[in-house]
Amino acid sequence: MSITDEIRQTLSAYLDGELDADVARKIEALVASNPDVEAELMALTQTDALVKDAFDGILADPVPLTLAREITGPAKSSRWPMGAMAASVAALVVGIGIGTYGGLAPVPSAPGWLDHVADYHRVYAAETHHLVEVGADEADHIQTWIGNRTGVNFNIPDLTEFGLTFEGGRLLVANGKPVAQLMYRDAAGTVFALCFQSSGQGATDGFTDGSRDGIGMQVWRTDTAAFVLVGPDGSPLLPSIAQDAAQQV
Amino acid sequence: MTKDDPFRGELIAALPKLRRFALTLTRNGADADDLVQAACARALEQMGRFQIGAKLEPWLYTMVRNIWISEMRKQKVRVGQGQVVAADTPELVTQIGGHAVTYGNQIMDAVMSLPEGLSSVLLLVSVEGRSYRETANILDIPIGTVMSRVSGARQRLRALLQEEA
Repeated sequence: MSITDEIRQTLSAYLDGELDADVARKIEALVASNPDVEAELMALTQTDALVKDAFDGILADPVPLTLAREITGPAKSSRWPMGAMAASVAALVVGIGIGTYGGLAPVPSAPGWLDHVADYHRVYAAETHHLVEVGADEADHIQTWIGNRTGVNFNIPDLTEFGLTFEGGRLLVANGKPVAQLMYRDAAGTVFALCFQSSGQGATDGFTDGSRDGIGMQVWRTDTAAFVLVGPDGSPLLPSIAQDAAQQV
Repeated sequence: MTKDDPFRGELIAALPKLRRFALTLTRNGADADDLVQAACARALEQMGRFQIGAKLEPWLYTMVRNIWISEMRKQKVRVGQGQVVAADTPELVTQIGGHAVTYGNQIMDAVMSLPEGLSSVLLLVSVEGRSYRETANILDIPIGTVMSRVSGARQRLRALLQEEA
């Protein structure tokens, strides 16, 4: 039996649950009795599954900060002057820490990845219902997906010792590179995040305070990646959490 | 906290899906982000008109579609940019955060090479599971057109994927 366009369209509507019950029953009978129609329905189902996987992959792409800022509004954005100043101060602190800047004065620079991470944290830490794109119940998927996209192999640190529950993760983008954001929350609902991106700048000896504009940050690097633990500014726990996270990640 | 914070939160949560929907209209990542940005600005202006309890996504999708049809699409056609004919390009590239990201799988390449109007219907119906009526309302087209477009999209994709297999 040749399959007409009309049958194809009816099969398509059947897949979408758009047929009346009696027409749907006729289609089911036709599928059961005709191998060609059954094969057609199977092919359409398989095509749908492939399309869904491909489209769902797009949802995992990082949302540009400019879009998030459009929504959080002018009162919470346009932080670049302060952020850039904080970044240059942080660069000086890091420079002294690892002995690369020597006695040179810091050169004012464009906002760095930490400024972007801080801005993202302001946007997402305020979320109660949509804190993460992928929840903690999909930890294996988070590890594979974020690992592939950032190029950083990592483990998800267990920070329950500090009263922090892992909530899930998402991808951000900073200075054109993907950044992982692993989110944790304490019993009071305060959000902490471990963020990282690939980096070839070399490992640091220890941790530096990269805090800026109300956001607490502990920063360190390995040979292959740059990390920052983000939380409330002035939290006395941040350095200890960062050290523990650095050992586990 | 201001009284509109929950609305802004829902809007932020909707961004990944809004960008995906916009991409099926513009078929160009940079244009999709411009479109979503314009739609978010308009949504914030008009949030007083949004009825509490109504579904936010269809409201936002309709806004994205209206801005695309009434403003951006005409402009893109006039200046001769955007409107990438994906079939003529080896792969669909979208700029995200200034960094080129390739939807480097054959399926998305095939979806984006569909004639205009098919990929958005396919997304709304087949991927997001919206009814023909809801899809028709979002895209402002007749229900019968939704039915024929989604079937046409499936047939074309099936043929395209068989060619490549």
